[in-house]
Amino acid sequence: MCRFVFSICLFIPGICFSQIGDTTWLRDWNPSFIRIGTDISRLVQLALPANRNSFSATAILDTDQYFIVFETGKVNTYRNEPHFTYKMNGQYYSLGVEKNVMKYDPKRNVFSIGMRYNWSQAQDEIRYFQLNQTYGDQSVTVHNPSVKSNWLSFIAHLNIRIVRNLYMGYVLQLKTALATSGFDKLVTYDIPGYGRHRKNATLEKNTTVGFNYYVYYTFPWREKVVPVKIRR
Amino acid sequence: MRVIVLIFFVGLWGCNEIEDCALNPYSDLLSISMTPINSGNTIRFDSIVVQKIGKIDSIDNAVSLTNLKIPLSPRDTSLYVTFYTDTASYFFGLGYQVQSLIYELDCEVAIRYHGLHIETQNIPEINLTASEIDNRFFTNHVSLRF
Repeated sequence: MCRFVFSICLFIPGICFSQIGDTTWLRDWNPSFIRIGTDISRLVQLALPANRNSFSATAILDTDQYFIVFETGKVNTYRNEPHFTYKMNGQYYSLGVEKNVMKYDPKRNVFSIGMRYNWSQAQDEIRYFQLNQTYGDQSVTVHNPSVKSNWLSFIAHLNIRIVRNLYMGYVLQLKTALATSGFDKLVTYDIPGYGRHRKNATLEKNTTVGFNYYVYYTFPWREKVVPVKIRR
Repeated sequence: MRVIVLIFFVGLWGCNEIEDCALNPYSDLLSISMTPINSGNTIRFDSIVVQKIGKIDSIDNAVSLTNLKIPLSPRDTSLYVTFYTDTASYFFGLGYQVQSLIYELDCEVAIRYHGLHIETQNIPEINLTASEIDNRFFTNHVSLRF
């Protein structure tokens, strides 16, 4: 009987049984929802006086136990320091895949791990007054018209279902393998989506950790069965 | 137990890295060393003239000079130095790039002079020993032998 059912499922597109070890679940590769969200911490920054304001939007598409995640954001920073003023504005993008390790949760909470590729583009500028006993004092303005960066991030993503289609959760990111180009006369200080470019003037910050809190709303178009763990 | 935890957090707070602006390794002083080609000889200059600065007043004809420090201009990308002796004049032109960077938010903007290269010269022997002015790695940047 089991062999008959297994053979029938071979002819049903997009659905098949998968068997790994002694656990069996029904695989469903067709997307069933899209989840749209935003970073709450960035919204809080918009309301408070700060040297940074930013906005982000995230879209998550499910396929079987995996999620395809796309995030984009816009960041503006303005630093008015005792010796200089620095401003940066730019955009960042992130695309990756995450695997749901809580796929059996009947409440549809999600804890996923994955990896993303990130890239950004920004313009920045610094203004300062330079004192020079030999050649004379001067006001200096240095501008980078286009700073491009890319990096990888490893993700731990927790998403808790609050009520019906509303989810809230955090994303912990380990950002690494940073590559930056386009800064010639000014070493860029802030990279949108990444954070500070350098630990100080002499040390580049090739690895950093990010923690963000998100709120999502899910738009489903079909009901997806939560897999049931069957142990033989 | 509470005391231990308190000491731990105080110690952790004390470990916060605070950058000292004086530790900025970038400067504008180009260090030039001068040695005679024939050991035992001494080098004497009538004058040394730096473009946009003028004659260096501290040069004394009677004193043999072995090292000279000249500040680079943040507005330009080249420096020309001419050495006058009683019999000849020697010169070299140094090209470089200027880069601004934030050392720390509380410090002044640091200026990094890098990409040092010799553009023109008629020195008998000239050797560029550094690619940038960074006090952590280089104490001398240009070696001249007359």
